[in-house]
Amino acid sequence: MARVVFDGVTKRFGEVTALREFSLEIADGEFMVLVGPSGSGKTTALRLLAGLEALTSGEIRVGDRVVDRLAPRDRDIAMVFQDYALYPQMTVFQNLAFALKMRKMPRDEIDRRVRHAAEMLHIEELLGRKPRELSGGQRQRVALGRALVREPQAFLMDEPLSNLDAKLRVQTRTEIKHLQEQVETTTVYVTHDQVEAMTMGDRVAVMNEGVLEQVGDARSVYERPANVFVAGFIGSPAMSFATVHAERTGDSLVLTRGELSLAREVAGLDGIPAEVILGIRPEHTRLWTDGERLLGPIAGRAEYVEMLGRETLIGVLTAGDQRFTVHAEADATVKPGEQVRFGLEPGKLYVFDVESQKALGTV
Amino acid sequence: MTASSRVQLFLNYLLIVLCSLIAIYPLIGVVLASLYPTGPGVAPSGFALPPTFQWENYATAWRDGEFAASFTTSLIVAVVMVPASVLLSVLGGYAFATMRFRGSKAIFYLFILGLIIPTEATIVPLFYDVRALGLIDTYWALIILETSGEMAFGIFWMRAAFLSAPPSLLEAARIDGARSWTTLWRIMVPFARPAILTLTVLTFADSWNEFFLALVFTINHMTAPAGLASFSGRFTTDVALVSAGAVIVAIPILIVFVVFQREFMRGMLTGAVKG
Repeated sequence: MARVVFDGVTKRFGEVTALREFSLEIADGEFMVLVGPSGSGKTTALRLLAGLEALTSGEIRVGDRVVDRLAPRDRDIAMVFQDYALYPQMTVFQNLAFALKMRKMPRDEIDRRVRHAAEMLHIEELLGRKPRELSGGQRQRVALGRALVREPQAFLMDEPLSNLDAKLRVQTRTEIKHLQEQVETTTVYVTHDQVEAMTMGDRVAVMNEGVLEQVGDARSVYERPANVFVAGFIGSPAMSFATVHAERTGDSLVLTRGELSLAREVAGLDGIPAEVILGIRPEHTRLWTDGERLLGPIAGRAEYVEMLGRETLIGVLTAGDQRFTVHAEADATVKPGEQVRFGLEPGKLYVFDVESQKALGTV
Repeated sequence: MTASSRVQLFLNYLLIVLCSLIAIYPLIGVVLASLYPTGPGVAPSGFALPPTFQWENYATAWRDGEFAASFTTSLIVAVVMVPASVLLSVLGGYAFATMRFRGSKAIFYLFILGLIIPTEATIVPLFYDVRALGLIDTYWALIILETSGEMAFGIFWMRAAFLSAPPSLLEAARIDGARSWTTLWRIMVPFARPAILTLTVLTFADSWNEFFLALVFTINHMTAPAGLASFSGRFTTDVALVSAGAVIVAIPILIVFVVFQREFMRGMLTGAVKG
């Protein structure tokens, strides 16, 4: 087990910069999730750490060693691939034992480690089978086992759940997390699924276009997003945004756009620009009920209505051409095309700078 | 099954049967002709059955055509040349598929040139080279020339087979601690087994059918097809004996194809994934 450090790492593929000045410190035994959309650089970061790509500049350390000039085999890391990459002609036992054999480990030690890993993953009865005779979930476990037997300094996982069906994915998510807690090996986990990121990571590193946007535990990233990108990427359904005019008069801040007008007394936010981006999460919006302490009402037309069983989500287009996702009770009777009025929960409105896209505070 | 899909199935079968007949027609003709009585005045035609089946034609053709000697040559050449050519093709294909090195593209296209330029175009300079090396009328002349000739296709074929492997397989091996050599033999060769077997069968067929090189570079070391040509030159009037000789020469390839049929089909399919 070891600390993993990316220090100002840049990776360019010809003209394209896949990773830009990426710095991240992952503590010994920590479960770090790199999350972001396609092309965000998360897989590049993982491949650089694995040694499958050479970095353009910067430094990568595993423990006390600078590893960025070492071959993958000398880095003492193990990787779980998206497509599992099991050796098709080998049995499960041989797949698990391969890396240990390469290290010329004594046969009885190989046997002990393979059986121990198989026991942990409940795949003892599969040891004699070939990968093609296994289900997707079983292959996934073998791929985990292959990493586990190595007892490496760090586990690297590249979207290991993306080939599983939804139900198995949820189950395996918990198992991987539990397994990591048992062995306490530093883990770098790459995913584009923000639910996976939130539920599995001790900390989450949100990436976009080769840049690390924010790093923190799930709660802080969710509740205090650093910028518009993080606010929009983390959270499902996604945060709604509206560009509004902001005017500060004494203690009161008035946000307007067309017929939309929200006034609230706030401390701070001095020097707020005249134009800001307003962000609100769907769970902090509600259909308007007179007497409730909400900011609004805001009127608009229901574009779509999604009944999710436990709740209903209504997509609303306001007169000012702004789109909001509004949370409603499961028994809400709104139909697409109808006019609706809704309100926003005070204190839950995020304000972002239009230019820098950075968070200015909450209202 | 709906009526239209049944009609389509029927048409598919009809097409396959027709193509098979076109392919097999001359073969059946040759086999039937080989069983006709020898001598003048007997002319085998089409699928007409011979008046009597002359099985002894095969023994006569084997003896008179001196096929024992030409079979020995073909066998010796094939036994050395096929493994050598396949081995070199595997190594070359692996390098082109998995390694990045300066000039790799140019060198690969150089090999592809070997597929494009016919042997006939280079035979004269080759002849002088082989003579300078003192290899005229030796097994080595055929072995070396055939091996190098086969490598153009072999490398192209094996490169495609290795490229069809998921890149993560190679990466997993690298992380697991395998070096290039181990990765090749422990991971990639088992993965590409059907393609390698197919290449072996094709190379064997090419080697066994080698005619032109044997004709130019050997006098006393004729391959089976060259032996057959010389035999038919001496027995042009006797269609039955020449036909028996032709069947004898074709039998080893037929056996190899039948034995490796399943792998051959799998190899043809996997090899066709990427080019």
